[in-house]
Amino acid sequence: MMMAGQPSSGQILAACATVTLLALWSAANFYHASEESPEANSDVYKIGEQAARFEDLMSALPATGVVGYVSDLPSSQTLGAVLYSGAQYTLAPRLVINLSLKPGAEWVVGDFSKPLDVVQFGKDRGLTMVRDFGNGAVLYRNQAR
Amino acid sequence: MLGVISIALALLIGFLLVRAFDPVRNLKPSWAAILFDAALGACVGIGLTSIIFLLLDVAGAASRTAIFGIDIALVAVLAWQWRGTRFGHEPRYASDGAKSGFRWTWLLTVAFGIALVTVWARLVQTAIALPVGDWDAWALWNLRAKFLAGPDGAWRYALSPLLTNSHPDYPLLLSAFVARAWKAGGVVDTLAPAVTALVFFAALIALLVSAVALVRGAASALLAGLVILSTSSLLAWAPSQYADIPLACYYLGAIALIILHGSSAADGRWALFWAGVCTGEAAWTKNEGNAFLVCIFVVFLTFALWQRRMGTVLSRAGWLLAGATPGVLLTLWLKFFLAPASDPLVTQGLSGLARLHDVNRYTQVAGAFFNNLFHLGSGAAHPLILLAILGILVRWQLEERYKKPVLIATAVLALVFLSYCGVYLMTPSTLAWQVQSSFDRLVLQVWPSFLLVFFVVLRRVEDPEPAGKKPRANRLK
Repeated sequence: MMMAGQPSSGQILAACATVTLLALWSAANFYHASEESPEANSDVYKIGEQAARFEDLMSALPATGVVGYVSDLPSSQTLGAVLYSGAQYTLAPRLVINLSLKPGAEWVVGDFSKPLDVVQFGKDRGLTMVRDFGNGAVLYRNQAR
Repeated sequence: MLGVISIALALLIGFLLVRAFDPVRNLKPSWAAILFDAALGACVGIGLTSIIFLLLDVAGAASRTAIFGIDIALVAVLAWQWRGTRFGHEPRYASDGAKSGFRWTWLLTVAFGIALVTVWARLVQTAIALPVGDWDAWALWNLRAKFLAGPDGAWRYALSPLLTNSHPDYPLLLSAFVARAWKAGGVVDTLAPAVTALVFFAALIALLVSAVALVRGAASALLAGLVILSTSSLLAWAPSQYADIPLACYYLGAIALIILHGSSAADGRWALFWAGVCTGEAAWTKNEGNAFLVCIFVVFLTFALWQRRMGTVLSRAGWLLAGATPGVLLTLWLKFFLAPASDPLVTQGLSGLARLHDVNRYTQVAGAFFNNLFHLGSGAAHPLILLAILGILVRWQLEERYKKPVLIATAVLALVFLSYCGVYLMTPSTLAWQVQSSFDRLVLQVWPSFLLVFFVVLRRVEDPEPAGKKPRANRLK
């Protein structure tokens, strides 16, 4: 048996009391700290809003299958990556893939961060606009298919 | 609602399964043995039902009827089995956790209860405020869960190489379990993943407290509970719906069972079997679990060679391997057939070895390690400060029978952590980004297991024996 000298009851009591008080203080601190910084506990990537934005578009898509994706922001940028990943999550179980990776997809989702000529944006990529659902959500059909 | 019922059934299946082949049968205190079985059962039940669901999904047979049919059949069979084994053994009196005599245990219980309720209330509020979880939760784990819960054949999308930003080669335990709840409930909601995350956190705390109670008594267990509840970075990740806390649960389950195996009153075979199950399920939870799996077997076999008792240790390793088999087979299936590794770390081949010569990378990894240790907690209540107080005042006492299990556990944890550091040293990704985005979670994966080892080595918290009184002998019938 590996042993160090036996502590006195006072030492054990002091250790327990100190750890207990500090742990209680830590728990209270955790409760109040997370109350004071609500942004740490909020949906910073606005994924909840994505679901509302794509709600109507979703009903126009088949329940499953591969869907193309185009955006005015490249997915290499932070905001572009957020939009792309958010659309992938929101539209699953459809497999949403950047059109450059899957050029043959019949249906293509346009996801835009700012107002622009969405018809021309699609034409430039061989896409015909089916419907603009507003708020940056557009459904295209792939002509190059 | 049906989704939550399916989660509850998974926990019940796990509990009944563990009780039927109870690794801590006859260990005292009884509350700790039951709590340990419930926590281990939660982890095992989630893993088992997740695997069953995935197989049903791949076979095209996943439906609400199939899920509940299998669940109810399993509950019935296991309840029958448990009823049969319940009265089959005479009780023995293991001294391990039972002989704690500390007059302030009740006060520690009250303090632990207050800390737990305070933390739990905030975690539930956070889970409600952030129903989709943090980035990896929706962009990776729950995205893949949606594919697995989708119409026939959609499960293949979870493994599609086109998902270049979502690691299609990652294991599927967590995603498949969430998908199972969604399929059972008939609706894709935010409740199932949030409940799953909180269940894993609760199981983690319960596993630590009950394991320490079985080995070191109630007072030490409550102190361990207070220390883990002071780990603010763990609390911050708890409602995030990431796979790191589930992984920490499986690590802790395996390490706890290896240590409990050292107790003469534990059922050694089943302790090792369930340790193997936890190890296999760890490998099926996250890629880091593969490192844990390899490290456990390497350490076990090294000890066998060292002690030259190959026969005995190989038989023990056999129980461990038997438990790990389902997780290992699924991992091999995933890695070699379904979604061959696409991670640049693996595909870079031997070129990563060249980075081992870069001294700056060692400095960067070491710096990140100490930085994350510093951020485990805050101020005077930092868990390392609490451990230092306990170490200095309560001191150490490692019983002979726990020496080897503690050595094995320490070696496994050290090797796992070194393997993590090795990955950082060789990663082709930007090191600064990699350590910044993941090192804190890697530390948390092993932190609860480290706490368990610490409290096993720490002297039992009890009132000192009066001078001249002989210590009680272990009564084993």
